[in-house]
Amino acid sequence: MTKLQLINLTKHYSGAPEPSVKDFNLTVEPGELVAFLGPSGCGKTTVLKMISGLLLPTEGDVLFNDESVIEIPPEKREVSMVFQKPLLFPHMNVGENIGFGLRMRKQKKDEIKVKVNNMLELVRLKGYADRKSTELSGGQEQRISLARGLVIEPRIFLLDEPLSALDASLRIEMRELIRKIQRHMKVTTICVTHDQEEAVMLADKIALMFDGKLQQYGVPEVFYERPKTKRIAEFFGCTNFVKGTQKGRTVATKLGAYTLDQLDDDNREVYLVVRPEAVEVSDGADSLKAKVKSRIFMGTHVRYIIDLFGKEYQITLESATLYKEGDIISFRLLKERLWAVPYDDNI
Amino acid sequence: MACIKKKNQNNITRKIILVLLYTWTFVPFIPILIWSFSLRWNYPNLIPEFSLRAWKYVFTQKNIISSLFSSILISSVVTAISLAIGLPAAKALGMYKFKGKKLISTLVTLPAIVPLLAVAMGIQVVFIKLGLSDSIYGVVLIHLVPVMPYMIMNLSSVYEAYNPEFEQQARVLGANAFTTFYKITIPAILPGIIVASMFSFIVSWSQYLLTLIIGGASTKTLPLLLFAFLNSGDYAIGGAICIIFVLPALILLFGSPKYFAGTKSVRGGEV
Repeated sequence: MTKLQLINLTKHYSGAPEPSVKDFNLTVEPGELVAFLGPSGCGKTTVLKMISGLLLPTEGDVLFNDESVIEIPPEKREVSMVFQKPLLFPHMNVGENIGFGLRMRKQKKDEIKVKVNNMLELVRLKGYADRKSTELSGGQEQRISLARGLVIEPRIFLLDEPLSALDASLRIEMRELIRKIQRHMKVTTICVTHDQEEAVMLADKIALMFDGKLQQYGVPEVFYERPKTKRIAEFFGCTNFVKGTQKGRTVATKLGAYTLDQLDDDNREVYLVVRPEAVEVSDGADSLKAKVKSRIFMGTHVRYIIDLFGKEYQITLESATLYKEGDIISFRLLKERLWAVPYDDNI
Repeated sequence: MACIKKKNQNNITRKIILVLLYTWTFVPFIPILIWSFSLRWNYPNLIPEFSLRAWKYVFTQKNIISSLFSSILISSVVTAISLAIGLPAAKALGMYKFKGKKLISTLVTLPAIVPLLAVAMGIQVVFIKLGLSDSIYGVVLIHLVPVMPYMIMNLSSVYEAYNPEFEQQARVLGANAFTTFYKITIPAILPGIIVASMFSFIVSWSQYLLTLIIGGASTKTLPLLLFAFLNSGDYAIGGAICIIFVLPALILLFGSPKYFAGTKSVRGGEV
């Protein structure tokens, strides 16, 4: 298993006003699956290509198990990559496609055959070795592409939005397959995606990128409960930000003052971050009363757009009790699930 | 029902057009074919006197055989050279964005538009000075002028559809740049190369004027010989040469459609 370290990785394309990736630092522990998450054009794929050797960084270093691989060309780096498109070589059949990397490594024919068949079984396409690669469905093509990338037992396995071309149900199935195979082979894996749901469900850790920079790195929960900035909280679906002042661990806002043990001591202007689901219906002394402006039924839950002190907020409640437009909801904020991020005029 | 009816109508129209096209292409060859197997064909005979004289003559006359070979040689060499120049040029035009791309595209197609006589008259003076006139080298060079546009235009459309990620995929799987080129790139664009080469071969094969002006008397290709026989009034031999002359074009007509199939494979999948 291989540990991957990226040190001050920077890529500045000639002619571009800004670098595509700037001072990117990251350590991926052996056998981990990390999702590079961010909107399209934020530099995720550029980082991936620098890890694979397909792109040379302007500055910085890539280490595998503490050794620099920056001088090693892509074909010798023992990294394998699956692209958005399956890219099955059209003049080779399925078996030849999967065995391509092994043939490049000059392995014996009968060994290759065994490995190819094992891989086909792993991606649930047993008996497909002699099929033409041009006669498969989109999902099958991508599974073959996955098998072709993994059969060489790469030190680092890179996936560049491999699921984005597939339809929704297939995507979920493939996501589970990737997770299962990755656990089984214990290969250090990086998966690029712009879909936060995909990142959360797939990855051990998420590296969130905006504008070529790493914004936050950690386990998926952190991005919901402890986002570093307002923008990160927004990316993960939070819509309620209440301006306030933090003194010590107490945040004072127009919705009331909350002492949050989860905060570090500080004196600053903040946004109180209230996730839509961090509320409960309550009639207590600390409860807030808001008028329902509209509602979105989501099955087990209902999202209410409410009017509180003349501003719009969103809260999510269980669908057991339904409120209508114009009803008054009395609720309180769940203190242990609140969070504060620095106030920023620019956003 | 209306849909099926329309489909049937479309099918019938297609068939009629196909029959007309084939008639258009092949009917003119019928008299030529008959001529090539005749001794004489005088008025008022409906059918000529049958004879293999022309074919025997064609396959025994040294100058016909040698002009056939020089035609094959020149067209093959021209195709090979144009492929060597055309591949990188087409890759640049098809895959990269750069300043002046439109201008270069126009310049590349220009020889296919400008009358060749004008080009040949101008170049002949230069070729005489360089000693290229009256030589096979000169003929090969001048054939490249009308051939290059066809080669580059055909290949660049292949490269436009070609996904460069195929090469990146091969690299990360362990293939070096050279192996990637001949194991991945060449096979992927091979159908395009075949079609472009066939076109180039035909364009060079059917050059009369350029060969005549630059090659002078020294280089006798098949079209030159064909004109000579037709001028002399020996339609039987002229007909036989004509049949040989038209063979590569027929091979192209029937051989190439399978290479004109969709471009899904060079794009790397549907997205």
